[in-house]
Amino acid sequence: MGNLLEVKSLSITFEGNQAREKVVRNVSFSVMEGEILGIAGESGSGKTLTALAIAGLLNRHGAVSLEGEILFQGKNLLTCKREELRRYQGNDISMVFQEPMSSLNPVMKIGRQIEESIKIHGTLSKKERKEKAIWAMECVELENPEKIYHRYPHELSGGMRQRVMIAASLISNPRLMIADEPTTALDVSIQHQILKLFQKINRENHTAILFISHDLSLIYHLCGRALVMYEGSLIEEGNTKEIFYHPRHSYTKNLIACIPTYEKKV
Amino acid sequence: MKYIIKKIFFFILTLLIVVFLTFLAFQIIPGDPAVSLLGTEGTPLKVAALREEMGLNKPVGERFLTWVLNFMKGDMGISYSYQIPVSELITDKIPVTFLLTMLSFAFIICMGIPLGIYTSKHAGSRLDRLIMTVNQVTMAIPPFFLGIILTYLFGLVLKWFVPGGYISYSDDFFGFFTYLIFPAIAIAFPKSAMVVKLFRGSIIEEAKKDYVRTAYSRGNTINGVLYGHVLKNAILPVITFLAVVFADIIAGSIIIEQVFGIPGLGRMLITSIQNRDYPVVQAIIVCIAFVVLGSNLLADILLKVLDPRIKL
Ligand SMILES: Nc1ncnc2c1ncn2[C@@H]1O[C@H](COP(=O)(O)OP(=O)(O)O)[C@@H](O)[C@H]1O
Ligand SMILES: [Mg+2]
Repeated sequence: MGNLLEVKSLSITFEGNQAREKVVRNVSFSVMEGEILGIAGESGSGKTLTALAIAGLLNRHGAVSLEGEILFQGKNLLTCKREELRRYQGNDISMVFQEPMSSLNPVMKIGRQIEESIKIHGTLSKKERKEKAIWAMECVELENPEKIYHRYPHELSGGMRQRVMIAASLISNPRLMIADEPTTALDVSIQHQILKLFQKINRENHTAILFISHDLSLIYHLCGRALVMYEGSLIEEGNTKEIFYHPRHSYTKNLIACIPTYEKKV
Repeated sequence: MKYIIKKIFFFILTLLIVVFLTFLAFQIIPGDPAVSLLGTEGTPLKVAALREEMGLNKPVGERFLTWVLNFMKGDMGISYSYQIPVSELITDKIPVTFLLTMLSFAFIICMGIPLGIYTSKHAGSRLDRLIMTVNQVTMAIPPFFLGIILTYLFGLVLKWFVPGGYISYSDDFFGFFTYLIFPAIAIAFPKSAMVVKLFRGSIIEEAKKDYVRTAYSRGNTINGVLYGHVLKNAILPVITFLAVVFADIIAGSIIIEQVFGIPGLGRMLITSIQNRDYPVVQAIIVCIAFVVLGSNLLADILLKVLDPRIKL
């Protein structure tokens, strides 16, 4: 399998008042077609910024400079035109964010939010889009999709909202789905259901998933390969089991030590 | 639907309370309408007879009820000073004030909304800073002062209209309309500056929210995010504010009608208060209360339609 995404020496710097603060340092890795790659690391290690850079969402932050290359199917997303980048967003690359409540528009119906990306990128009629949205909602195992289609975010539970976010990001059948701490805001019991969902999407649609979490045990369950970030740098990369049982870096050892023991056995 | 019915119920209730309070206020204010009506001819005997004739000797509650019932039938009583039905007196004033108010409101929307969008979209640019500086000054200008400046500039210097040369709508509607443009601007300018500031701030705040990032991640253009997502959220506080502004415009029109010599409800209200012509004053206050409460009702309904989170 070839490389879908190649990140080469990515650095992200915030142009602060006086101090230029480099928060992601020289990060290189690649995501293969159809794989699930995990990124672990404590909060503040630069995971979200890396994800946002790949999804083309960092330029909104103004005083930030990006160095290196982000090659998606060979195309450098950091240098291509805005309009070109936009054609990838929500189409080939989609995102699932951490906070399913604030990440959904509070005054827009669920259905419209789920179909938005195919409305922007596709040529389907209104009726066809709705059919597809219902299909996506069935994929993420939302009950009564017809009903939920006309609901608003505040009328759903946290777990349902995250399913809506996932439905909205899988509807366009993307090549790469970036999930930034998608289960952190949810109850533990729902976390596992959501993880299963990512596995299913990966299996059935061959969507590559970049799964980001501060929780190494989730990555252990879900990902074949993983990276560990520490203070903006990549300190570990490899087979998840390899990292888990033979961590090279002392920081990774600490991360593993933080996982409650009963979870290690699962 | 339940929400709207509830709002309409409260609208009627509040209106009744306002009407009752104004009615009560005129019972407390010193000054006997019978005395002022008779003027120098007012012998105690004549005053007493007139009081009886006007029904002033009946209990307040009874008089209030008769008055409300008559009002609902369209009978607003007889003006003390003109001796003609109040309804006749005010029906040809209502269109004047109505048009002035509507024109002012239209100016506020037409200036405030687009400028709010423009400045927020280009926040920090040179033009944005210029507009916001002018805006800050404009907000502080009292409408009557702006009215005087406009009269001087466009009336006396440029001669675009004749100050004090009010044209009745029944004579020449176009002339009437153009005469109202400058007073409407005087009312609208400071208010639209407030709308610009509020809307701009609201849009900028909304644009920082997480759902905006989600919208970009789906491939929206800047305009797609702004018009498809942000505006519907950002307009909500502006709608509440516009309802307040609407009430304020009516208050403003009372003063502006004086400055520009427009014979509308505002002028009639002031002369009637001076003459203690209570039936007229009461009728006008009811009209104003109706419009003010009505604009609030409309804003509530609009908010409910736009924002599904609003609960009963
Ligand atoms: N807008 C910003 N301005 C300055 N520094 C920021 C900004 N956003 C994030 N950072 C810094 O970048 C670092 C990495 O953040 P982030 O990628 O969100 O970490 P993670 O997702 O791993 O928790 C943090 O130390 C944070 O302080
Ligand atoms: Mg993060």
